[in-house]
Amino acid sequence: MKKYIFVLCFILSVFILTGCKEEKTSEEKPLIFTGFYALYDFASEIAGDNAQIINMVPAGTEPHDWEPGVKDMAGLNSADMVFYNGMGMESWIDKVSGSLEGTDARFVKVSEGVKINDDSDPHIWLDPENVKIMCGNILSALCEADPTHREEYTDNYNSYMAELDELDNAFLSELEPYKGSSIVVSHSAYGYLCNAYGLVQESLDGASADSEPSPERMSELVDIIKNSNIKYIFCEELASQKAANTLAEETGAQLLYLNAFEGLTEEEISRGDNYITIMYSNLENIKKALI
Amino acid sequence: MEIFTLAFMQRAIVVAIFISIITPLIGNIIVLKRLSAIGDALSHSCLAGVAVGLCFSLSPILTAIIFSMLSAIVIEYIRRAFPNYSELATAIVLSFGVGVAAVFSGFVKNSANFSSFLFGSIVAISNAELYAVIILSVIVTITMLVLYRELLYISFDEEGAELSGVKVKTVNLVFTMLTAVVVSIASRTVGSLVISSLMIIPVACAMLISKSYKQNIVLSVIFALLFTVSGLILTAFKDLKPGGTIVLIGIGVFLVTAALSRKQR
Repeated sequence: MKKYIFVLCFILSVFILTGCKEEKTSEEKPLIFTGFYALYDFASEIAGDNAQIINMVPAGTEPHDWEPGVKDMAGLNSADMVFYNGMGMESWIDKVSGSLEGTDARFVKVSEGVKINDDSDPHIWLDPENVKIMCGNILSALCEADPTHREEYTDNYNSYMAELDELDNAFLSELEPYKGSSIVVSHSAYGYLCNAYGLVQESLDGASADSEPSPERMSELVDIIKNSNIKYIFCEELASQKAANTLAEETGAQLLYLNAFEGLTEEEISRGDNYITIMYSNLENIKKALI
Repeated sequence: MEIFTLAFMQRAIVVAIFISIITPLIGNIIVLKRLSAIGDALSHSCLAGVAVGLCFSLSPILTAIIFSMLSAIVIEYIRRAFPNYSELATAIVLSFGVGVAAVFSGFVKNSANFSSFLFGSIVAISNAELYAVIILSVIVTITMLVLYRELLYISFDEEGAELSGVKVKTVNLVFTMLTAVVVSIASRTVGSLVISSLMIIPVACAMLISKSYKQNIVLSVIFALLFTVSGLILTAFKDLKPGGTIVLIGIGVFLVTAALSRKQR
């Protein structure tokens, strides 16, 4: 017995002694955490270098199924603000905010004020008009937390609004000829995008990226694809493509990527991709599918 | 060491200590009843409960607890129907839970909402959950102390217990309900992985070296405390996921203990 207890104590002490490094951020800048990559991108555009922004969910992870570690929690503990989308995008947000009661962290729901068409679909940012509202919320939160940089924040906001308008106009004018057409997607994340530009979304499953489609839905889609002569099926890099592949084999359609901008891979980030570039490439792919 | 002054970390450690005391207490009986997978089975019933609750707009937490209790009763029933194959009971209920969850989640409009009701993490615990765990722990500990002899007798020899006047059905029912409530509340608090493995791995470690039943209980609690507390300390310095780390430490300690105890024999 004694021998075992000794061994246990030894193991425990090894754990305690491994690595005792501490990190401390000394800047006066507001420390902001974002729920997933899209919000990180919007917040960075508006804050510029005046705030320290950290994305909670690492690159290439589906934001629905992520869990915080001790370091993430410790970071949140010293945060000034946490930007989150809500509507079920961050399944961890209620628990995490509950456990951070009593700290300074202010939880800002960035989707506040966006017109909700369908409360089962959280992907509101795929309509640039909604991004403008979200950025408005980010701007007012930033100005409140750090009034000294109000002017810079407002300037950044205004120039980003101009870019978003340009993006919106490109979508409007280039998709104008295809109003009423259908796109087939594996993950029903594009309701807001389709709604904004007069397209119809036909999806394999619900708004979550990993549920199993029913054979009934599969055969409906086969009919839709054949009858409307659809040549491309959209799928996502971060989610499984099995069902989309089956559908493609069945109908002879090809697969094409559409990015819901929930997260980016390391590769995309190092390539300098952001919301605007991803949305332009989405536009190209949608056009390719509709021609 | 500054990290241990943060409120969320202190709550995590307090909850880890309480959970490490009560789950092996229940686990010792569970293992003797040959129902090691009951934690998994019941947490999947909670999943089914959440799906059904969201479908019919009932409180998902309440339906999860109800499903967990009903499943525990069904497990107990099947176990008695197949005395020599009691592991069938957990396997059947586990499949049922996964099946119900898969079918009903198809009717849940916002499936992202679904995962937020199941989300449990030892590092994200609110004050309300902390109190719930403490109250639950007190109830479990008192019940286990009061029913200690009866439970022990039943686990080793159910028929003998019945013959000598132990109210087997009542005691089993109380224990089953207790297990169901612990699994459903704790899996939402610390995560179902942690709760189902803490019922079993510490007990398995203790069985390798203990010389009596009482010693087994004490040792399993010590092992559980070792896993959870060292897991939290480790994840505080190395950026690892707390739930998985705690379980892997448990498995590692089990392997080392097994190797050492074999050498000695």
